[in-house]
Amino acid sequence: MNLKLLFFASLRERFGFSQKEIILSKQVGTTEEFLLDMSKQSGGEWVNLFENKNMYKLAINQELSSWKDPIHAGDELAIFPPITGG
Amino acid sequence: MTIIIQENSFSISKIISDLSKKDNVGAVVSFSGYVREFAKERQLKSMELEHYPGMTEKALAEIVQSAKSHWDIQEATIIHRVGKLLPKDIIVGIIVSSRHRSNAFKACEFIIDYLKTDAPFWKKEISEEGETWVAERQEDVVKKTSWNKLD
Repeated sequence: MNLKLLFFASLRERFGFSQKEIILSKQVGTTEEFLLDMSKQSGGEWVNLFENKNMYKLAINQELSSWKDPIHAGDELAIFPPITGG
Repeated sequence: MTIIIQENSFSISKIISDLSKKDNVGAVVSFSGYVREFAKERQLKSMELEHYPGMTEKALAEIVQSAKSHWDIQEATIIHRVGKLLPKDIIVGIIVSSRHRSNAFKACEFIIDYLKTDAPFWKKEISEEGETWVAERQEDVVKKTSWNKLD
C-alpha cells in the first residue's frame, strides 16, 4: 500500500521533509493505524507523533479529516499542527 | 469569487474600489489583517507564512461557497500572503460586496472566522529570542463554532 505523505510547519521541521512516498508492507484501514504502523516500523519521531496525535490535524486528499477516517492506497495524507493563518 | 495566494504585498483599497464599480453594488465590507510588532511581549523581527498549495485554494473556495449559501452577496475576494513578512505588513484581505450592508458584514466575518481554523496556513514568528510556530488560539475555535447555529 502506497501513500503520498506531506508534513507542514513544525512537523516538517521535526521530520526533516515536506513530502514523501510511503510504501507500507501491509494494508492499513485508518490514518490512526497508519501512524501506529509507522511508529512500530520507524520509531523515533513517529512514536512521538502517534502518542500526541490529538495535538495535530490531518487532511486526506486535501479535505480536513479525523484519525478514525479511512485511508486508501494512493491517497494524499497531510499531517500538520493546528492552522494559524489570517 | 477571487482567491489569491501570493508573496507580494497588495492594495486593499484598489480591490474595494474595483468591487464597488460592479453592477448594483450597495455595500463593500472588508477585513484586513496585519503583522503586529509584538508577540507575547517579544519584539518581532519577521514572520514566515507557510501554506498547503492546492488545499488552501480549495478550502477558501468552500468557505466562500458556504458564505454565499447563507447570505445574498455579490462578489468575494480573498487575498492571503505567504513567505516572509515584516511587522506592519498586510497578511490577509477579505472583501465582500452585496446590495445591502448586512449580508456583506456577516459574510466577511464568517469568511475570516473559517479561514482562521480551516484554511491551511501556518505562521512562524521570528524574534531576537528565536523562532516560534504560532499556537492555535482557543478564541478562534470558539468564534468559528459560534456559526454552527446557522446550519
